[in-house]
Amino acid sequence: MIRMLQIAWREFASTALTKGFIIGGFVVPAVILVVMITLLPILLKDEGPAISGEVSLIDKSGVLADDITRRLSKETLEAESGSVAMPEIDPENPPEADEMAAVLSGALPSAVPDLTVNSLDVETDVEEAKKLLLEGTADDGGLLALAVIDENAVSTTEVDSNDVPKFGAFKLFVKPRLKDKVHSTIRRSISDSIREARLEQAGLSPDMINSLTKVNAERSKEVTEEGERNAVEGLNMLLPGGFMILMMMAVMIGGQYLLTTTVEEKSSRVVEVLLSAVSPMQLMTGKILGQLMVGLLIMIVYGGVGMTGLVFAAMADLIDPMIIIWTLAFFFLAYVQIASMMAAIGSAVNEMREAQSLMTPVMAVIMIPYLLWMPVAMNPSGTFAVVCSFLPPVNSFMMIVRIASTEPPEIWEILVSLAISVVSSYVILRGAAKVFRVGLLMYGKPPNLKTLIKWIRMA
Amino acid sequence: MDLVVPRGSLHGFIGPNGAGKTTTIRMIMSIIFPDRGELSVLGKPSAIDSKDKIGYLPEERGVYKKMKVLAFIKYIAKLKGVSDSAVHKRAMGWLERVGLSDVAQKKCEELSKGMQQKVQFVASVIHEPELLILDEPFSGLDPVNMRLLRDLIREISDSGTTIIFSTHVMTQAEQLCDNIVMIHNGQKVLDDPLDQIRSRFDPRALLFEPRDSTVDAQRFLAVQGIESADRTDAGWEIRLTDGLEPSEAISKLSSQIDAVRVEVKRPSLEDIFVQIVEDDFDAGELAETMGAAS
Repeated sequence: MIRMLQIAWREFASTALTKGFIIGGFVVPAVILVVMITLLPILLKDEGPAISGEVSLIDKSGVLADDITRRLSKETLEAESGSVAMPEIDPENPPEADEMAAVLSGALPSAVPDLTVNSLDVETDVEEAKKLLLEGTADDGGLLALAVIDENAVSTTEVDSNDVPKFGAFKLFVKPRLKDKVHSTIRRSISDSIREARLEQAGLSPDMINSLTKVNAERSKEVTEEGERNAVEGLNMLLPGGFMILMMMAVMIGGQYLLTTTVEEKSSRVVEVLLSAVSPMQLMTGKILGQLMVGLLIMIVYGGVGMTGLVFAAMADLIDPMIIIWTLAFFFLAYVQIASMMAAIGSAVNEMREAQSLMTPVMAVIMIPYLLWMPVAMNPSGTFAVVCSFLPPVNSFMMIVRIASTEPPEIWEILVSLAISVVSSYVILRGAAKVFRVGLLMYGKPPNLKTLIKWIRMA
Repeated sequence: MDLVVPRGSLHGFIGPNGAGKTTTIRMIMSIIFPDRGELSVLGKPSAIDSKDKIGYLPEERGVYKKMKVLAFIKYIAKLKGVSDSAVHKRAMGWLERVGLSDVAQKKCEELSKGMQQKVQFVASVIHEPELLILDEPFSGLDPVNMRLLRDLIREISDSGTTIIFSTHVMTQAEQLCDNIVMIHNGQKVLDDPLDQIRSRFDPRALLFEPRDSTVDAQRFLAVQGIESADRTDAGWEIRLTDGLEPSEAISKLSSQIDAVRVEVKRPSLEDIFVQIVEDDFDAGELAETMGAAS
């Protein structure tokens, strides 16, 4: 037992207490997180220099030129961009997540384009006017766009079979590589202008229409014992996914390291020295335990960061302490399964390259929950979810998704799934131990799956 | 195969490549298990019960590349049951003995192959085993280190440790061992003290280097009791008939032919080895021969 712990400690120390692991596992993600939170908004805010240039307008309807000029003026655009950018802030509960979302969607105040509208005569030759667009690039200023509005764009006499008026349209020609934001501003302004002109023509007040069609809904609030808070849509689904991915990450990283160190011990021929001191079973168990600690460390650090985030968002009550206990239990069992397979593969091959082909079944166990967690999280009590949560070897992952979902399963379901995991862990561990014992001292041609199964039968 | 290694002896385990030396050693170490038959190690049915009392330097050996030399030795020592309090002193003591104390804090990968070899040797003896099994301990060592290791092995043997040591280089076995076990195709073909083997495989021949290099075979064959005379690089190899003792033959020959050098040909282990392997006779036949000889 002491030897097993010594092996486990060496395994843990040589993996987790290295510069590479600490930097790659914790420092780099922390730096990225800090950069995301602090630097990114600043960087996104600065959109670069504002564009200035001209927009030529051939307004055949004859009523829109002034309105469009007003709409594209710098003052109007600045006023608009200011009003869009200010997100509502709840003084009680500053919504950090919302701010982030606003930042990412680019709805921050930014430099508006400086556009001059040139109204051209209706008789102007469109082809001639277009030629000006060929001069220079969008950044140089000059003519950026040419808009041609049909004569019947605002008022028309034509009607279709249902007596609904048929209006004309407008065409917009722009310089290549014109900034998308400028392009859409011009397009939107002309559309808005035409729409309002039509409404007025029909004797309707645009403000009236606006207020009739716009429904203001306040953000949904979740009512909890600690008070109300903003509901975050999708969180109910993301939370189970988060638990599963955390678990999977820890299992995978621990398993991957186990594979690497086993292959290394074998290829550096240190394994027979170890086998003179401990039995193959002790060696394998010690190694599995060591990497279990690595996996746990990752779960604790990353899970801890996640929990801290929830505490700050006053959502810690979403997580029942029992979920954490179940997660640890299922993590342990899922880990033992993956890790034993990894140890068996590592012992069977001579170098990492050869491990790839044998990794397929392990990768399947990893990939299936990845593909399935969405449908299971969406419908955690559906037949599909229930079946998945009892089907080894993916049941541990799927059960966690169900447990963390809005409709947690009955306790007996959890216990049955746990029992299935225990049994399958035992079976996999036994098989792996046999392969491990035979494989460790086999050098030469790497075995295929068939050979591995033969080893399991033979030993 | 039936083999008994008495306590305190220094047994050489020889045989051609693929004869089964490493397999036998691994079975002794309970790393692999025999299909049938039984073995007993230090009085127990399996080495698992007494791993701490056995030192093993495998043929396929290595070190943790990223681990520091001292840490590696201490790790193996602890796995072998050396107590925490004693481990540091012992490890440093051994590193000093093999001249590696100044690299104790270096990573194993920074060491040369020969140095790594010595580290592995230290790791196999650090727990002061009662039985030490060395599989090809000299491969990859330069002559100086080979001598150092040989002296250490002798020293350990003198302190009462039983040593089994395998090699396919016969001279090493000759220089070190009291007893030789030879296996060929998984069968034991020799198991005796070295001097007994020598006398059994006595070629009954002399090496004769005449002063006059033009001497021909007829001159030798003229002497009574000479069976054959073959020219070799340095002179002649003279085979004797059963009736003639080497000492008698020497005096007879040297009285008739002026000699620069005359000596009794000593069978080297290599000759015996090659003879056995090449003759390729089966173990049963050999056993008869050996029975007749002894």
